[in-house]
Amino acid sequence: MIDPTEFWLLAPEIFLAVAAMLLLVAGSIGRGVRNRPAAAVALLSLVATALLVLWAYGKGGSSEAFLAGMFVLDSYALFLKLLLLIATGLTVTISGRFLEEGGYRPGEYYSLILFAATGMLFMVSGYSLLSIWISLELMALSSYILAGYFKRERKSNEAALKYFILGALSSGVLLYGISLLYGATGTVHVGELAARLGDLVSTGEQPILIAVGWLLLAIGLYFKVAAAPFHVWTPDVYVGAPTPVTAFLASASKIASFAILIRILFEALPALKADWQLITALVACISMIWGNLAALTQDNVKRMLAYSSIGHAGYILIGVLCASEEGLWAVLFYLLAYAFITLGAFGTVIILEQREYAGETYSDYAGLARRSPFLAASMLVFMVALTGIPPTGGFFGKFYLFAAAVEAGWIWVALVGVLTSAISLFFYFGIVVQMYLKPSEDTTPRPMPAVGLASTIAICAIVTVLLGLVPGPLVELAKASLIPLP
Amino acid sequence: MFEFLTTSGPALLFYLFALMAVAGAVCVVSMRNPMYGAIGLLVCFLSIAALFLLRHAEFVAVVQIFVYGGGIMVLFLFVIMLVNLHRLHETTMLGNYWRTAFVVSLALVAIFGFLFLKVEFGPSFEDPSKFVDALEPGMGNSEAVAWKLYREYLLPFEIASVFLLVAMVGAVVLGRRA
Amino acid sequence: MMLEITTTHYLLLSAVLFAIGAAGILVRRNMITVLMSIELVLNSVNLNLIAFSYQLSDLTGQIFAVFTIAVAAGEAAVGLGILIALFRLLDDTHLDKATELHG
Repeated sequence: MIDPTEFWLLAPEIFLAVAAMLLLVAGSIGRGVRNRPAAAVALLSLVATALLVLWAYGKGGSSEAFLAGMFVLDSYALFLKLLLLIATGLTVTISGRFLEEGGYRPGEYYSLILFAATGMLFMVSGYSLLSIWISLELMALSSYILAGYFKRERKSNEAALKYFILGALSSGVLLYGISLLYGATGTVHVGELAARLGDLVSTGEQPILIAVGWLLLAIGLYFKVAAAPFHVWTPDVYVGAPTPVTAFLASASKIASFAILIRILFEALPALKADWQLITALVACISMIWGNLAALTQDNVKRMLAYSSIGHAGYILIGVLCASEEGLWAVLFYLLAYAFITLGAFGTVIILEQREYAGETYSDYAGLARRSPFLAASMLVFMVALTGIPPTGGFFGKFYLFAAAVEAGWIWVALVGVLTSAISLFFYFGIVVQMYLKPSEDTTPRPMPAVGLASTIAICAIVTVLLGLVPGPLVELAKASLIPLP
Repeated sequence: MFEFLTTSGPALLFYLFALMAVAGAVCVVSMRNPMYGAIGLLVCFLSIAALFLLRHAEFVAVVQIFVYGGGIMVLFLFVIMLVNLHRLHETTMLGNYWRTAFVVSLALVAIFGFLFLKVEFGPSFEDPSKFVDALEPGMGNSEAVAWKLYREYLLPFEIASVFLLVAMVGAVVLGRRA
Repeated sequence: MMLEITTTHYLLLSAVLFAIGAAGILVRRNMITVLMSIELVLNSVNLNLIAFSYQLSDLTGQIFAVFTIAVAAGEAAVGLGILIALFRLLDDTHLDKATELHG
């Protein structure tokens, strides 16, 4: 039974959904809203939602699930919710120019972003496979639409189609896995599932349903976090989607997917820990190797960043497979650092794109240091951070992940991580070489970008460097945001 | 003979509808003309609704007919009639490999079949009323589903409402002339 | 002699439908067929859920199936919307094949 007063704790999610609906209504009255007011409303509602999240956590934060066991507001959910709201906010601030230049309606765009964020907030708090899955679908559906938002662009359209088809297939696979686990245990509630699976595994009952079920479920989740070999959709979608949407998919969407992956593996499937550790180790290694090797051969910066994001999914999975405290907080640390790095990098790409899809190749970055020192310097920071070199947040992120792996005894996985990071130096620094060493054909200085975009990139670069200089506070925060270990 | 028919009636119905469902599904993936595929899909949906009835999921069976047979089917038919059928062959993604399709699906069936045949279950529920009575005596299936849906599963239900709103918005945003 | 239907029968049928649907998604080139194959996959999941719900005498499976149907409807609407947008673009520009992206 549900106690109606518990709905107060859903205030952030409800508020965000209502804000999205208001934007939708405002966008469809008359000629719709203009870009700036719409972005401002979206930003303000994200800030208000963040405050409401803090308020709700203060009021009823605990590791006990409520609303009939469907929803949990623990410190893990709090950390991720705030992180997701930040990532969504930064996405909003880098979206403006694209919408204005393309002449696409901003009202629906921002409202879809907010709807996706609502789904993410529900995802990280889901404590039943049903509520996790339906909010995952809410996020995914909004993302399909956003990927195809530039209707007059062929690439955007095809990206949406490909994303939709493979996304629907992956959620079918995930759902099939859930149905088999339900058949074996008779429940979809995360806590009960863990308890019954523990009993069944110890008595050796229903081995087939459990094995096939969790494997399909995990494959569906690997699909969502874009880990190889389930990454086929990633490069095309990242290249084809409007760049702000790509940034959103690579940051917020990935964080939310990782959040439920960890929640399900740690809290629903602790009985199968040894099995999923092994599979996750394999997936992590394949992702790191494939993502980084494929990124070597790319000429398009967006496509390179797409493969790099596959590689980074592999690095984050290292922390997941440790199933230790160190591993978990390292993952949370890395997710935060990665969100800022990747949003900043895509923000820089957006500035350099003259028209909707032009200016994406490596050679477009030639001589950038002379034409726009600010852009070149910030891109340098992001590339250094993605490689994992100090003094950036990327270094400590990778360092903590590898250290956790070594401590948990997964030395060979950590080794693959270190080696692939060394490989990644080549393609990340390919851009740096272009920017600083190659002369540019066009020597006119670039006009300063719009304030919102420039300040977003500046914030991302500053945070990236700060995390590399003083990682301590964030580490403490991440350490306070753990869930029970399997 | 009559005794066989009366006692095995549900089983025979299962085989009949299972056969129709598979035939419909094969029709969907193998027909060149999507109009025939859509009809195969309809047959598949309706047979599956019948299979739900055999498992005493009356409410879900009716929803299946309404939503799939009524809503989704009409949507598909609309789009098939709306778009230029000659252009359909031009939207390729992975190429037309029906042999691969055959092998892939056969392999999947073989693996799943091999595994699932080994799964052992206890006896299924004999008395359907008992199944629904698990909640409260004398309830119908729809009532029982509604009770559980609005009490225990209220949160996912609300999220689903937002989901459907987004689906509506998406269909309008994407389908509208730019 | 009496024929009996068990949950295993349902599982096998659902595996067959899942396989046909997955193969359809992966190898068919006609986008409308692909969208229909997605519906097949979701239906196979529903068969599983309903069979288990009966087996376990637990209504959760039936409720999950209702949600699956709702999601299938939403996905079909958006999938067809994307398709219509693509067709509109094809009609406007007379490009021949939707293969600008590859790899």
